[in-house]
Amino acid sequence: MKTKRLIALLLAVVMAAAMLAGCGESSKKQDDKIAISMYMWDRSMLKGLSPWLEKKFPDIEFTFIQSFNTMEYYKDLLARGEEIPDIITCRRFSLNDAAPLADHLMDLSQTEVAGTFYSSYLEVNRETNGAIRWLPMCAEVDCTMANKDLFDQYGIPLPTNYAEFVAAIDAFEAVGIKGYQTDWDYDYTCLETMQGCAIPELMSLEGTQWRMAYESETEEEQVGLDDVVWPKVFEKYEQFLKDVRFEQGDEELRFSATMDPYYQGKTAMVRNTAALADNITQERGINSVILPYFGETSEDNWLLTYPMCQLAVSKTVERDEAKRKAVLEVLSAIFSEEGQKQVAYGTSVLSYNKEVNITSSPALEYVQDCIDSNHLYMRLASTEVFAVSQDVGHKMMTGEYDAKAGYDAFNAQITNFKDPDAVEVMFTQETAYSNDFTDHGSAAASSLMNTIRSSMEADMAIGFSPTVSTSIYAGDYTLQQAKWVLTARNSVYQGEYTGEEVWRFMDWLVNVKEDGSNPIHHRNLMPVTSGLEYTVTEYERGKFRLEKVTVNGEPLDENATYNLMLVGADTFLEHETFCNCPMPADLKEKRQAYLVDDFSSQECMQEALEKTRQFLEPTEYVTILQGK
Amino acid sequence: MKKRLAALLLFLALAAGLVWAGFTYFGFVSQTIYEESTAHLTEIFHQANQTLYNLVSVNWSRMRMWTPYLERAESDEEIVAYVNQAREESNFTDFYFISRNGEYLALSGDRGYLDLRDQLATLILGDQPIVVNSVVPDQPEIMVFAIPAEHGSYRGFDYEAIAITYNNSDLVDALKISAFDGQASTFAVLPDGRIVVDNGSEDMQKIHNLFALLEESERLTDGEITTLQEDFLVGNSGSIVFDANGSPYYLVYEPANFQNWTVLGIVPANVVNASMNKLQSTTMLVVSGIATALAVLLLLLVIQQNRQKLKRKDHELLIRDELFSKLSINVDDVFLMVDANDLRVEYVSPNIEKLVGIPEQEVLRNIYEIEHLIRTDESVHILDQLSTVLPGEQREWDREYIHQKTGEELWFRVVVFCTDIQGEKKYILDLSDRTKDKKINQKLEDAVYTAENASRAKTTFLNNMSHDIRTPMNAIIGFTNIAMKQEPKPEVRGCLEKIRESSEHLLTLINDVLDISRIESGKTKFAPIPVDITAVADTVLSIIQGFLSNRNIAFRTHLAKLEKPCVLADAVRIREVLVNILGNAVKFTEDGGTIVFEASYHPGADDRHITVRYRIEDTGVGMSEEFVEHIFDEFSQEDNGARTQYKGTGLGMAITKRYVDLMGGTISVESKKGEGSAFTVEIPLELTDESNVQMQELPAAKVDLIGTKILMAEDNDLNAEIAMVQLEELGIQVTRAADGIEAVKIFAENPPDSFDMIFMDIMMPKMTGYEATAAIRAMRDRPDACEIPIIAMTANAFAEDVQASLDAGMNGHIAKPIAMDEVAKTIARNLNRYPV
Repeated sequence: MKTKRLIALLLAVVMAAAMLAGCGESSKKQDDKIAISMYMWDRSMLKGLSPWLEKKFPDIEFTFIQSFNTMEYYKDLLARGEEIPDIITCRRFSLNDAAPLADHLMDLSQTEVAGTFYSSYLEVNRETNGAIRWLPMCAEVDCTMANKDLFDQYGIPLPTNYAEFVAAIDAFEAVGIKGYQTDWDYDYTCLETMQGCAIPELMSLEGTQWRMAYESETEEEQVGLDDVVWPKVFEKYEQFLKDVRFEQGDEELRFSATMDPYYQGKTAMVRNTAALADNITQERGINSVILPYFGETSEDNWLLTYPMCQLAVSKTVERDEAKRKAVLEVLSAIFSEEGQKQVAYGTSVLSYNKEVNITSSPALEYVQDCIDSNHLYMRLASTEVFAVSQDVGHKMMTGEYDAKAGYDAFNAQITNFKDPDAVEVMFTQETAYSNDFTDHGSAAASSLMNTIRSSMEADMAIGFSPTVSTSIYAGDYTLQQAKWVLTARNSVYQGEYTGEEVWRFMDWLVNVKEDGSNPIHHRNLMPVTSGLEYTVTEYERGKFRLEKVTVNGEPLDENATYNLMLVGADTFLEHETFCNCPMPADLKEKRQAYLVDDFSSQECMQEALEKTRQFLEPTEYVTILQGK
Repeated sequence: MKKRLAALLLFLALAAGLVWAGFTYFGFVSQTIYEESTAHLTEIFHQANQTLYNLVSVNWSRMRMWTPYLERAESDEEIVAYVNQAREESNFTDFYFISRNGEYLALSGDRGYLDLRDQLATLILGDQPIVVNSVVPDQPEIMVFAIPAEHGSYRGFDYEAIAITYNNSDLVDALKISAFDGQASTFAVLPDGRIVVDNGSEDMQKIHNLFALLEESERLTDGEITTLQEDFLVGNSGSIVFDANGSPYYLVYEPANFQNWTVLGIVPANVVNASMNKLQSTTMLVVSGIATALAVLLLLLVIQQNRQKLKRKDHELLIRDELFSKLSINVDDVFLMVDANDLRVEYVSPNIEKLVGIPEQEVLRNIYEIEHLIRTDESVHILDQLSTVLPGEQREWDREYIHQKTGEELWFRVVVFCTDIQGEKKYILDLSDRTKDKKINQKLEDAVYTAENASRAKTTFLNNMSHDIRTPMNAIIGFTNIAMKQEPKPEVRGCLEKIRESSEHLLTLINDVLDISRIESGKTKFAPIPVDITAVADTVLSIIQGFLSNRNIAFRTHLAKLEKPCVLADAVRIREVLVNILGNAVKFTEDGGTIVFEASYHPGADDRHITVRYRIEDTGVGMSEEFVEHIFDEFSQEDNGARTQYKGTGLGMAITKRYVDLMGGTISVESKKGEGSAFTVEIPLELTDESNVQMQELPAAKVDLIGTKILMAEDNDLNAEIAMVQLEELGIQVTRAADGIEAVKIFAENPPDSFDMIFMDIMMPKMTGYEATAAIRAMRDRPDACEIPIIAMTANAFAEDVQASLDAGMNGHIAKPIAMDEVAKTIARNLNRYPV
């Protein structure tokens, strides 16, 4: 009997071994989703890309955070002992800027997704050690936007070279129309116009050699401006400013101040992107087309481009093989044709990836020869170049610098750049507050909003959507670091509202609209409040319903009057491309009346912090319930 | 079992050996195939690589040849013609003039920027030829071969280099190989694995990085991939095998010898090894087949053995089933098996209907049908008690049932066993029909009752007969003795002598009959007491001397000495046995004869026992052989006329034999007619301590009883008269009471110590002797009431009668007919009178 049992046991063992051998890899845990955090350089990515990714990867728990368009933020994270988020994006990019992050980012050179890139585009991002840590998203075109209708109206031909460009400006000036204007206040405008007017020089053999040297510079060996190419750049810029008839004060022009005259037919040309040109054509019926940065001949015309953004992966992802695979799958999806369309919305000029065809923007009709001849200049976009371009550019605009002085100042700053906002410690934060979004919101966001409200002596404050992109850390804060707590420089409004109006305001910010427009498709977009609390029900994933608004725990009195402070830009909420949730007209009209002029949310925060010298204690401003 | 184990181990060792040999062979074959295949592949792909290198080399050679010609060309048209001719030779896609800043001008006049990155400086400033991947919008990736040229101009375009470009597909042609039916892939890759020239086969489409592909291979370790990366970097050649799409692939690689490319070939292993794999798979198939056959054989063996075992078990079950079935039908027991959970009947023996009148199917449907059998409702329902019976226990109940068809009254013994069968609790009920037993027992009880009644009647009869015969016998013997003492005439004396002899014979006959009856009824008990066994023989001899007093018989004795004579023995019975035998010897030995009495002692079964042997020989009349066989039968007397000569009851030897048997001894007889007889008696005896031995009763002797005052209660006037006459002859003063009441009254009315002793008859009217004794003993105001000896004087002569008298508070017992010697000894003993 024992012998038979032994035989039976052996057979069972053999069978079990055979069965086990037939099994493949251990199955993935069904319930445990892989968590991936992704920092978006701009909120526009939250509109199309994030919901698309969530739908495409139901087994991944994404956390999308609106972040900053600078490498400095991530450097600061590392300096505070934090880890880089799983996937980070940044539009302002240069290899030398990204170098300090290299040890914390994955080398993607041997991944399948990197293999999908055209070599010539990818090689730009290759480090000296062969590593490739940043992958560029399809190219955006940012040149001169022309009101074609206006050109036609006045019979002025669209220019094909620099002389014709100047002639067109003159022609418009002659009829009382500003020939060229732009939002000179911004650093990117200064940078792009400065480089745009001298692309042939910058793309010369000497120019490209200098650029390669500059982007390979190290902290110890800073590379100054080339003395062959760059003096010509400043000379041409000086001339450019004259030719576009720059006037004193224009250096303070911002977007709206520039665009309103354009919409009104009072300006013929402005600096802008192909995406916006298409949008204006579609939205406002103004036939806007992109013109290149002109050279002496049409063969010298160039388009200024830059990747929509650059994307990198934290090295921490490599600790978990399953997560590494998941992240690479996400990257492959993002850089697929469908993924890039979620980012570019058909406004890109070209894809950097093989097998990805992106339909060219209609606004690019008149620059097709530039595209065909590969006259696509990728802007030099290091942080310091942005800052120095703004400083030097403004001084050239105001006449403080001529070309030579401009060159010298630029050269001096670029080899020893210090952001003034990042030098002086403003205060020391005693308590850290996390930006993790719980059922009671973000502690960091609440702290910020409580801090801002404290300086404005308002009864309550409402930030439209995510106003905070980072946790508040214990430790020293410079002004620059404080500004990173607040995502953007939004407008600030303050005035008297009834309880009923406050309710309607919250309703507009939270509830899904009748046409399906959804301002909060992710809980991270939930508005942050101070001085009032609200309760919402997530009745469907990414869909919320406002249930209750209280003031210090008491029900909101609809008839009472409250001094309400509003912080935020409604562009994202109201724009058809994004949330398409127009603010009720009466509320909008009232809000506009309460606009605090020349006072952005960042300035508001700065003012508050100068008083409090501390981010204040957060409150549980929201309660998110799950239900139907 | 050991042999089987050894066989199994041998089998396992063989199997392990086969497996080891299989793996070794498989490994050897695989390695050989791998080496052969990679060598073959390396050669093939080296040719492809060489083709690519030749293309590049030729291009550069040709381009160097073109440069001077282009410089010397006199017109643009001439240049165009020349380049078109060159295109036909080299099959390139485009021809470019390249300016210092990287601008190009095509033959067609198209201009643009050719992004050569850092290679532009190599080309222009370094004056080196370059090969570089580049791209222009909406065009496939191109490979640019450029060489520096003397400053020249074409269509007004100043150039410093010329270039030809190939689309990827053009280079792919160079890498194409005709072998393997299009299933081979050829790639040129950068050191980081990025594919720059893609000649992938159908199953290697959409691959952009070799290392990303290899990372998915379970076959490769991280170390092997790292080695591969290093090989690519330093330009080594090599080969590996990796998995993709679930299949193995061969990868051979070698440097492209220009730029930093590596050319590699990938072919499915099964394609490369098609024929070898067939051989290998056939071999493995055969080996696997043999192994499988062995395994199947083993499996079949096990299955066969299991089947045989099952068959045997089935057979045994069938036999048991049949046996149980037949037994169930033919026994008076009904068996049921009931599930403990729901009391579902799983089995009921088919004889249930016959035994209790309930159909089998009804009980199968409902166990509670058997409760209907109960004759009275008072009985506890057994089914309600089942839950109290635990596994391994059994309980029993007796039940009176009614046969449900015949109405017959039945007695059943219900036994419930609780058992656990493979985890399931079951009750087994045995309803055993005990009706026949019950009836037999009833009859037996009746018979016993009847027998006991008969026994009691016999006892009563014997007691009555004893009493009723002894009473007149007492008178006859008494008065004969009185008459004899009156000095009658010789004729009268003769008559009186005959009356006395006849009376004594009759009394002996009565005593013997009573004795044999009592022995047979078991009332005679063997009562050993500590005695000196040698004294027993002495006593017997003294008795026998009396028998021999008027005879001329030589009597010889041989009495052995015994060191430790103290034994446990019934001396009275031994004495009776010996007296009986010796009495017969005297009786049947004529004068002039001889009687020999021997007593000897022999070792017993152990140290604590001895055997006493008595032998009595005489030279008497002897017995025939036929009679000797029946000598111990009751009432056996040899019919030889001796009966008239030797008076006997015919019960003496029967009683003797019974006594010897009672004592565990043996008696044997040897006799010869006319010569004499010899009796041998052997009795086992247990030794005891000397201190326990009672003094032997002394033989009777004359005592002085004059003046003794006796109150005698006797209802029979004749007996009273006889007793009074004989007692008064001894000088005793006798006061008679006619019954028990009177005796009590006389005792009470006389002052204390008026009487020395009371003789009390037992069976008296009004008040028995027992009652009178009790009344006297109960007189608390009379100090002598408790002390006065009261002697039963009764015809109730049995031992139990003696005991009954003692139990009633009396001090002794005298049986009627009275013997005055015995009476005198009793009086003397109780009054502490001793011989004078």
